[in-house]
Amino acid sequence: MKKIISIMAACALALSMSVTAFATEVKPDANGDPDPDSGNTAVSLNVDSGYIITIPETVELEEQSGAKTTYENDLTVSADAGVRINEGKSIVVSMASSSYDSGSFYMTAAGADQYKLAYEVTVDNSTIANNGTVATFVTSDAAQTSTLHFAADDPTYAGSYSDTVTFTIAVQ
Amino acid sequence: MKKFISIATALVMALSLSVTAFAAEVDQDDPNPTDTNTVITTSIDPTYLVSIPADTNITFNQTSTDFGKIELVSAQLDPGYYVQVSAAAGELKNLANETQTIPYALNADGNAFTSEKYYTDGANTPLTIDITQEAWNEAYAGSYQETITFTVAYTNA
Repeated sequence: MKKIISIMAACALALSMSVTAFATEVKPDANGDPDPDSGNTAVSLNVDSGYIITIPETVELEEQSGAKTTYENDLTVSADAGVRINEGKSIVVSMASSSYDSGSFYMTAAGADQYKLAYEVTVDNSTIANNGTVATFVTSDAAQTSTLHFAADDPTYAGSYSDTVTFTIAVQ
Repeated sequence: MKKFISIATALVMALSLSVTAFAAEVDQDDPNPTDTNTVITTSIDPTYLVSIPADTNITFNQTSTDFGKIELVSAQLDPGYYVQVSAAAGELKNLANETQTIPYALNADGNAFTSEKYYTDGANTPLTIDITQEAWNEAYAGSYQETITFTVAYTNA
């Protein structure tokens, strides 16, 4: 009885071992010919997507003297060379601010009760609205950039003005 | 599958602002986008131009002489700030003998002017120099002169 149990346990053990699978097994048939005479092997690979986006944390508008005084500067959003994402997808960068009202963004100065300094943001001379797209990047070996132009008129009051805008990066 | 976004150290904007790096990791299949904040700033120094009366000659026996005006010609002031101009009347002094004087009043709209606050472009205070007839009657002959100092302060006090 004891020997029978041992053999059965050994057989069970053998059946429970994992066996590496082969995609195709070729062996000779009764005539010695290869059976089957062809086989398919799937080849696959995974390519990680990746991108590096650079957005400055601050931009200071500088006085521009001309027919009238304005305060302006550029901010560049860039993607390093080698953006790689899925086909048909883009990296979309949008911009928003809680200051936006009636078509303008606004900066405020410390100590000011009500006065706000309106400013405009354009990309390629197109005005950007709140939550508007400021940059679109695609898969590319070359670096990509988008230049935002900030401009404000000469304010009524002196002071240090500021506003915080939020850039949102999404793959769409 | 690891997707990686790095917002690296960016370029220096404007005169001397340093920019620090922002880094985030986003899964391409993640429907939630990544946000980053940028602060937009500009700084305007306060400026103002105050006009004070020019040198004025007083005609003998004239009890009230137009003395021009104090005017805030142009200004870009900090919120809550103003330009304050102060001046004080004194005595016209005989150039040959300073002990001989003619008292005068520096008036604005008939009241003694000491100081005024100016907040906006164009704000002004017309002034006169008034000498009583009694003062004229008691005055010695001669040429008299006085320098009026206008003190300008920029404050929010």
